[in-house]
Amino acid sequence: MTALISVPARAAGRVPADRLAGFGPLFRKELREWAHSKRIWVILATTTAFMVLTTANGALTSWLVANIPDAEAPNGPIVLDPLVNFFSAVSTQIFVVVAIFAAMSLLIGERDKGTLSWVASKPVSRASIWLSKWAAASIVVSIVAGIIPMVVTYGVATVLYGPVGIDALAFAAVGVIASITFMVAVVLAASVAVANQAAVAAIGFVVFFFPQLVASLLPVDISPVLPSSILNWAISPVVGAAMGIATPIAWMVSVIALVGFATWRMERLEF
Amino acid sequence: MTIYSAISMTGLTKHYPGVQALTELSLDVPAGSIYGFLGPNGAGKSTTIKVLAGLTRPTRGSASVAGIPVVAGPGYRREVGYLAQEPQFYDWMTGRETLRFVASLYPAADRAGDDRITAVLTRVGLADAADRRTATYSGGMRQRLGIAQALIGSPAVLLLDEPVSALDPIGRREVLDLMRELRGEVTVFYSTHILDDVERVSDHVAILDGGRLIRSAPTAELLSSFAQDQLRVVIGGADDGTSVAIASIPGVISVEPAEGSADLRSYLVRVAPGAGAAVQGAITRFAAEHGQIVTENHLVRLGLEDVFLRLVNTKEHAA
Repeated sequence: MTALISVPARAAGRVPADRLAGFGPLFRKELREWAHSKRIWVILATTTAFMVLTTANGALTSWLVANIPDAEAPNGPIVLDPLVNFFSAVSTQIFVVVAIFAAMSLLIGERDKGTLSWVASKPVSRASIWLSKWAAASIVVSIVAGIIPMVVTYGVATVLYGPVGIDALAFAAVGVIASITFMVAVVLAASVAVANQAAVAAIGFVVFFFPQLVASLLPVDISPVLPSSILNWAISPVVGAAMGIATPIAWMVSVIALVGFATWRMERLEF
Repeated sequence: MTIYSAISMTGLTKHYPGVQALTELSLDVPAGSIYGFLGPNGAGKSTTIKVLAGLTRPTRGSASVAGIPVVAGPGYRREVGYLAQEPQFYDWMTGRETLRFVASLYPAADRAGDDRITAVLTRVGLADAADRRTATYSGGMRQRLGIAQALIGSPAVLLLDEPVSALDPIGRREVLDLMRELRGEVTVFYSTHILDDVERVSDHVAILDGGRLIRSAPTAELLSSFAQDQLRVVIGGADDGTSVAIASIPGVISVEPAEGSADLRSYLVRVAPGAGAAVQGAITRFAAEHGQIVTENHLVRLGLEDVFLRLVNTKEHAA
């Protein structure tokens, strides 16, 4: 009679903690993939152009009114304050829209193509797959859709209107990075809950704009407890507004909840 | 005799909404074997391999590789190399970069460095194309890169889902030769519906249909077991009564006329297990007594295709 018994397990040696197994290589792979992608240049060009033109709007309007006789003057006064014009570009939050579009295909695209299941069959944790995408996308989008366009815009505002305090740039940078990190988390968390990119983008836009819309209609100001108010919170010292702790707490709780939900869902994904 | 089992499945069941993909699959795969997992489309082969690769969870039952349960996550997947039916890689990576990325996920392979990557690329015949982007690879090259990336972590088991079904004859031969070379070095568990390949390469075979295991056995044993229950008989001077007479011999299950002529009549005689020799003798005696000449009276060797079709059609559950 033939007996079949299991092969003894091999000595595993030193292995990384299973909860974050594979995070380092996956994170490096994500950064390399961004570096190979053309969209990084598209994001940089469109965001920078949009923010620079928004900042230059006051100077352009002023020049047009002064130099073209038939040019129609705006209804209100033309504002040429350096800080106001710099923040007018930042407050468009174009980087949030860009973050939604940039992140919406990261997981679903890989899932549709089949590379996600390939990676998931390797000795990596599902949490590492999600966290590496979130970390890499947050860093890259923050740099190419946030920091670089904002620094260029800061320079343009300084040239056109005069010096802008460096604190404005520093506080705005904190807010931009926090906003992008939050929105990338929203989009990637949505990607493990729904199966197509349009739905993911729709969830991203709803999460960002709908609470602000509701807040504007309510008699009570709820915007300080919205995580999407993090940019306004960050620049509040520069504009002389009170800097409460409700917004960063709301932001942090939301991000932790999104990460918790997404990693929980990732573990349950079937391929 | 004790044989180590590289893969062990017990009562593996997978239910999707409206579909019972696997039902109570229990199977042990001997270590070092090349194990063919056969079945028609929809039999549950890919589901089984996905469960073993840790990509989908069984509804019930358990599975382990090298004694490590599939639920162990990354620790389990270090023991498994997986090749999907249509392998997909990052198009922007070269073959070498693909292997370097996969190796970085296995601590031992990562430490071994580029020498191991070059050795594996050479082994699968991709050394010359190693620095080309995978987007430019042909189907056969992708499949070989798939085997290379499955091997790079030195797993205990290779799980290959239909590794040759989408390839042309040359690509198919290359991949089958590669699988054959792996015999004894790593356990290869692969699914296919190409019966010729199983007969050529596998030393064990399991047949699945409708999510249920129909039969599992060493390939040679399976074929020989079916070879013992069918006789080809050719008799000169036979008449219409001959087949009736053969059918009445104890141990004969059925007699089917086969190709023949008026002078030489052929029959396929199906006999009960173990009755082959006795029936052969009885036929010879009958012919001699009736002045007929027996020109052929031998056991028929069935191909795997015949065995497969017979098992699937009759659902002879004998696992």
